[in-house]
Formats: sequence, structure tokens, C-alpha cells
Amino acid sequence: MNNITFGRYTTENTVVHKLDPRNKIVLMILLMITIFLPFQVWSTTLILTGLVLAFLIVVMFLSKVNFLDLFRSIKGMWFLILFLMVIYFFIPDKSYTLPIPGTPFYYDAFYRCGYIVLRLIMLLSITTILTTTTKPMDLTYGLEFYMSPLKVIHFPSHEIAMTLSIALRFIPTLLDETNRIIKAQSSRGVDFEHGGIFKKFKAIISLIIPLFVSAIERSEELSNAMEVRGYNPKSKRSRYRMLKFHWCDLFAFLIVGAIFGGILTLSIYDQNIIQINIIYAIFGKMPLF
Amino acid sequence: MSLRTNSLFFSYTPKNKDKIYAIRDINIDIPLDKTTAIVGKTGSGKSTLIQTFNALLLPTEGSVEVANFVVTNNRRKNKANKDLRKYIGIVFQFPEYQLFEETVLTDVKFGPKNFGDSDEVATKKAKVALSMLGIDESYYERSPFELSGGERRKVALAGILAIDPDIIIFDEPTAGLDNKSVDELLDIFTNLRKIGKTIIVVTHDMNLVYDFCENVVVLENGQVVYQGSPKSLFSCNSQLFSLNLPNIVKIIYEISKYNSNISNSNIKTLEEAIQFIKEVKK
Repeated sequence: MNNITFGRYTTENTVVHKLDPRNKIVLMILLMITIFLPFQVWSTTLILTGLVLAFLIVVMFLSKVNFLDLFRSIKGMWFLILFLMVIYFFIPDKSYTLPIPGTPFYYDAFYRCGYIVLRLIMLLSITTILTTTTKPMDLTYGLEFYMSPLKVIHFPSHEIAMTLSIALRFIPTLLDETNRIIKAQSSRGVDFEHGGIFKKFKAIISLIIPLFVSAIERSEELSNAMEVRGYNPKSKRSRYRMLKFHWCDLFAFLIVGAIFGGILTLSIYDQNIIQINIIYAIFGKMPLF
Repeated sequence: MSLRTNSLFFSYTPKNKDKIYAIRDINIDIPLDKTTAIVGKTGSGKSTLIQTFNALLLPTEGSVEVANFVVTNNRRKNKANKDLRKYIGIVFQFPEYQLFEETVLTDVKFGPKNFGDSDEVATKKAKVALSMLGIDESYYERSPFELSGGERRKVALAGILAIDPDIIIFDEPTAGLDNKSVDELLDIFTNLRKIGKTIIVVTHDMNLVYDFCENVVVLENGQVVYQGSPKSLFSCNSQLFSLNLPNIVKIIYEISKYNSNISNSNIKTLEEAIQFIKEVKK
């Protein structure tokens, strides 16, 4: 449990770390939309997705994201890949792909499955870049900034941001607590690794109840501690560290904006006016898919 | 009979190139017929060390040997972990946080049942353990969560005693307790010793070490810097390891400033010190 490092903030001094969290949130949303934009031709979809992936890899290098940790988390997706393969093999889309010779199956299963996995990996990469380069507190400040216009309709944006930042702050504490309870219950003969479903269920109960009790007690202590220090959610608050928009933010926005704008335009064009086929446009040959 | 460690190393990041060892090259021999204290500053590796004793943490290098059990980093060789945990029980710091059952009795029964006792036997052991800690029948059907902090700690302690381990390790048992509760805990320790249990205490409370323990292990930066009797530790070496002196030692030290013939060699308890001062006054 102590070894969970994937997605945690890393203290580095890269250009991605320096970006304004408000900007990073918008850029993340734009990139996420980009990878879900549809195209009619498979090869076009894959080429454009590949471009975004290449951009993400460059950003990950720049932000010094640990690739090994990312691969480890992707490794756990094998079951999903297998499941999708089976589904797509039996429900192929015969309209635009070729059958695999000598089998009742179609190449389509590989494309669709590969594409979904690729998109998942990209989603994971985007969120990883955001969380490893942005302090949880900065992230909540960013979210609060976007929610602040809703204060007009009495939406509790500050309270939500505060709750989120506290929740994020307490994740490592709860992990330590979990570890401690696992050891204490193991001393009482609980086996968390072996045994049937009933035994495992009982083992998990012996972990979850104390964890909940301690979390609730901690939250009560924390709320008391905040109250005695005069915390009032309704009061107007100032901030020690002000978020600032730098030149590098504008630069990053322009790059991501260009990628998003370009692919969005192509997608609208593809869906409404004429099918875009990049392979045909460059090589003059029809692609296999 | 003793609990022995052989060149014991433990690292929380064993796969890292620049791994940092929480404990390094520990070679100790803890006699099972004596009460032992493990002391040292925060972060010196005390809790890590005791967790290797019953295989909650497996050594990165070296081994722990006790009775017929050997704990090494080879998972396959550690099949007898459950038996080992029945042999060595650990009462963690703030054990009250491990309670989860609906009633006090079922929570105390939880341990023995995990180790294979029938419900009847487990109930019997639980009742014995609870009575040993002064918890009467009126508490049996109450929820552990509605008890006071001190009572909850007693119930958690009973949960380990009910397993009936031969060696009981207490990790900072006096943390957060008032003086009366500390005295009650010492009475429990005395009773446990009377029925032949071995007690190992991890503590910062030097009075507890001096008054109650016959053997002490001092850890510093993950290494053993002293093992021997508390008396000789506090008579000469305690300043070396920046340990607090027990009250009784402080008193003797102050008296000895005025009378060079006085030493703490024959004085071990507060009562003996008072008697001694009275005699000097006469």
C-alpha cells in the first residue's frame, strides 16, 4: 500500500509543472474531447489519434512522468482488452472491414479494440500528466476558479473545493491507516491473501469498519480544529499564493488549441461535407481500412 | 530459549538502487525468561524490528529465529506464519482502532476463531482475557464503539490475550494513558509474567523500562547500540544515546552530587530511594 506512487504529484521544475492549474484543466478537457472526435475512415482516425498520442508522449517527457508506473497501470487492463476482443469478434461491423481469410471473423475486431485501448491509455496519460505536475491544492484552486461564477446562484463552490482538497490531502493518511489496520488484523490471524470468498469478505470487513471509524473520527477532529481556528466557509477569503497566467501558459494554450481546433474542424468536415481519407490524399491509394 | 536475529536488514524499498534500510545488521538475543524493552528515538526502527518478529514484515536480508520458527525473506519458507502469529502476538500502538465487531465479546473472540478455535473455546478464552483486564460481564454485549477510549484499549488488548500467545509485544502501550491507567497496565504485565508469558515492550517511557524490564535493547538509526540491563544503561550510557533518565535515577544522581559514596547500585525503586534519603538524613 505504501508503494502506490502512480499519479501522485512529483516535485520537479519542468515547464509543465509551471503552467497555471486553471490553464491545465482546460487543456486537459480539450485534449480529452480531441481523442473522442469521430471520423468515418479508420485510417484517418488512427493517424490523427496517433498524432495526439505523439504530442502526449512529448509532454510526458517534458513533465518527467514515470513511464514505468504508467505501463504498470496499463498492464492491469488485459482483462478489458480480452473482453472487448471477444465482443467485437462476435459482433463485427462488416460494412467497412475485410474478413480474416479462413475464419468467420473480421479484422474490424482488432481495429476497434485497439482504438478503445489506445484511447483509454491516452485518457490515463492525460490525467497522469495533470496530477503528477499539479499540486492537489492548486488543482482545487483551479476548480474553485471555474465554479466561482456559480456563487451567484448560491452554489457552494468554495466548500466543494475545500472538501476536495481535504479529501486529496487525506489519501496518503488513509493509506497509512489501512496499512496499519491490515497489520493489526493480521496479528489477530486474519489472512487477507488466501481463503474462500466468505473468509475474504470477513477479512475485508475487519479492515473497512475500523478504517471508516477512524476516518470519521479524524474528520470530526479536523472540523473541530478548523472551527477553533475560526474557519467560516461564508467569509470572503484571500489567498497567500495567487495563480498567475504566464507566457508559457499562452504558448501551451495555442499548441493544444491548434491541435483541438484542427482536428475538430476536420471532424466536422468529415461528418457533414466529405469523407476525409488522409492515406488517399497523400499516397493516392485507398487504405486497407 | 531466546528470540534471535541474525544479521537482520529491512528496507521498505528493497527494489530501489539506493535503498534505505530501516534496520541494519541487527544481531540480538532476547531471552524469553526476561522482560525486554526496545527503546530509541522516533524513526530508529523499533516498530519495524518488532514487525519482523512475527513475519508481518519479511526481512530484506538475514533472519529471525524463535522456538521452531525461522522468518526469512523467502515467502515459501514462511508457510508457518499463522502459527508464528499465534506464538507471538503484537499489540500495536492505539490498538482500539482495530475493533470492528458488533459486541465486545465477539470482537475478542475474533482472534481465537481465526486461529482455529471452536466458538465455545473462543468464548471461554475471550471471557478469561476480559476478566484478566477487569472487564465484567455487563460489557460483553455492548458495542465496542460506545466505550471510553481506555475501555476500548482494554478490549483490544483482550483481543490479543485471548489468542493466548507465548510472547506478547506491546508497541508503545502507555501512549495517551493517564497515570492510573499506566499503573493498571503494569499490573496486567505483572500478571502476564506470573502466568509465564514473555513480554517485549517498545516504549519511550524510561520509568517503565527501569521499573519493569530486565533487559533493554537500544536502537539508533536502525542499528543496535546497546543491549543489556537497564541499570547499567542508565548508570553510564544513557547520555550517549540521548535517552531521558528515569525519575529514580535522576534522584540518585542529584543526591550523589553531595555524597560521593552514594550510587544507584542498590536502589531500584522509589520506595528504596525514600528509605535511603531518610537514613542519610538521620
